[in-house]
Amino acid sequence: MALKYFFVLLACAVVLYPLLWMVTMAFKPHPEWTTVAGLTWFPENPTLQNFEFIFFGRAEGLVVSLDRTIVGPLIASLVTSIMGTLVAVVCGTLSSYAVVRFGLAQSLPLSVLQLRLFPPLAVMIPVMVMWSFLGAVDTWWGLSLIYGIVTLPFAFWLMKTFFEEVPVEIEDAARVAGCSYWRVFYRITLPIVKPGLATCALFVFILNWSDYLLALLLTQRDWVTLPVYMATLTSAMGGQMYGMKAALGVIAAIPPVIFGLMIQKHLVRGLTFGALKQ
Amino acid sequence: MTAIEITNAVKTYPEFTLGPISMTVEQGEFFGIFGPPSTGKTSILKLILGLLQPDEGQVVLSGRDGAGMDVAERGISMVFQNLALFPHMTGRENIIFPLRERGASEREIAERLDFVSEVLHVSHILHKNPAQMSGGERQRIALGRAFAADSRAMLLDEPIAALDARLREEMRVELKRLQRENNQTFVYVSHDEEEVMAISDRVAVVIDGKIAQIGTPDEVYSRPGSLAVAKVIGSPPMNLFQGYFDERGAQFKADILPESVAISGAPPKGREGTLGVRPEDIWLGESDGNPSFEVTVSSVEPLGSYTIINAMLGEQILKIRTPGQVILKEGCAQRVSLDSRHLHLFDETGQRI
Repeated sequence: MALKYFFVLLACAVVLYPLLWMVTMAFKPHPEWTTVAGLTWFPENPTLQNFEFIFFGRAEGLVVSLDRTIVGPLIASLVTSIMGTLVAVVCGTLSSYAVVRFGLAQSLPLSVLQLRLFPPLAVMIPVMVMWSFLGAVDTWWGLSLIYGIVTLPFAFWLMKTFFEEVPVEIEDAARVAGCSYWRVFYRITLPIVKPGLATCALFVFILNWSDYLLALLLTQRDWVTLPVYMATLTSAMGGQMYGMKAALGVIAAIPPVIFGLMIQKHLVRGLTFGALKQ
Repeated sequence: MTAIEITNAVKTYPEFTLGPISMTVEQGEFFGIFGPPSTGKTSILKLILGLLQPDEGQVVLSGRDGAGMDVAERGISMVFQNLALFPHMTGRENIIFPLRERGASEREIAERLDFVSEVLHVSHILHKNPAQMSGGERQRIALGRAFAADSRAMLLDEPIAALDARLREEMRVELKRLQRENNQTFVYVSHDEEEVMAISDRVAVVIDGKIAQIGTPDEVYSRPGSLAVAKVIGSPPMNLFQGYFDERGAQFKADILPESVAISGAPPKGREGTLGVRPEDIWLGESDGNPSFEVTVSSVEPLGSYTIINAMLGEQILKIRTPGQVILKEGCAQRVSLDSRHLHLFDETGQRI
């Protein structure tokens, strides 16, 4: 027993320690960032300086200043991640339903999977060429589109397994009751897979939210996202701005956490419990 | 009036062919479909519903060809084998779902709901989700949903198979009552022979995707049209003796019976065939004018109002059903006789003679 808890605690420590580091660092003033003053577990002089700095570009007592604040990248991240998630979830849901229920395009699942069989970097050069040809570089829709495309396979496969769990008889029952196919889908099937849909949306959102590579290559200035912005928080005078990066990390963690809490009650439910006789 | 008419319907699957199926169900009839598991019974229901389209033949509903009719406009309701309740709706929402979909008025919905919850005794579970209901309660909600629609026919696919024996018997009586009171057309599918026989006005016996016989339960039981039907109808099953008909066509010589059995009718003279005798048509002891022979009792099952005796005749097991409680020692020799009025004869191809 003791051994079991030991490993659980060990796993927790490995996972949670970086988070602790990030949160405490976010509230540490500049002198406490590095070992010069001796590393401490918690900030000795807690401050909001780091947050002030990334939101306003300057802060009391700091000689450096930023030419751009977090606000632009935060909005860019929110817009592109949400739009990308919508694209992936809507297309993934509809296409996987068509494949599962109507047996359409039986080769689609594998073709879609192929999109994920190689690292995105492998196709980024052609994508960049295409995007610049389309005028999509450094636009919100260009980045949203690539997010939707890259996460579509994931949404497709996840929703496919959820749809496969819905017994066809439940849909037949709705058809017999007088529903058209489309009505069956949104009155019966969609509500039944709602937990799956929520889970899928959350995962896809997190993938988009944490993307660095695509945003780095497909944005220049107007639509730079949080991860890319974070990498720029380095100054010639101050070196790595650990405190600001940590503060940024804390802010970046908030949307997925809120999203997760919002859909939490859907996450651990059986889909069709009680619909069929055991 | 004919409610459902299927003519030479064929549906081909990669490893199974259903049909050709021909059958008619009259308005207000309780029509049973019986067959061993996975012989295509559910597919017949799906043809009627329009969830499957026949590759050949046609389905006609109250005089209208089903080919151009969508599932929704057929006006047929169904209780699925696994019930298929909508898990995200309460009992009430499940029941009124078909009414809402067909655009019924609030008043009509309320009336039907009242009617259904009264006849099915479900008022107390209308607010529950299926997950919170017992098996019997879900059953009733599923029936209620089919009933609420007030459709021209109701199809029931093994609707009570999952219930325990006592509840099943109750539901059986209840279903028959509901059907009679509302003068509805029921098509009832089951692999439980007793259930179908007890409840149906007429029965179709489905074997290997084909209808082997249609008739009243009594006809199917007392005059099975083929060897295949004789084998699946009746519990314990019919005793079968291989043998041949003599040259004059007056006697059947079974391989393991010591003496020939006198028969009537026009059997194929000198050809092989099968003699079938129901367990209740074998009597203990001698009887005048009936063929008799000696068997060895191997086990006795007293079942209250009757007793099943398993006996060996050579290598073959005989099932004998005798009224009342009978005590026989295992291993003892017993003289039995066949009731020659109730012999079933089948020719080489298994057709009844």
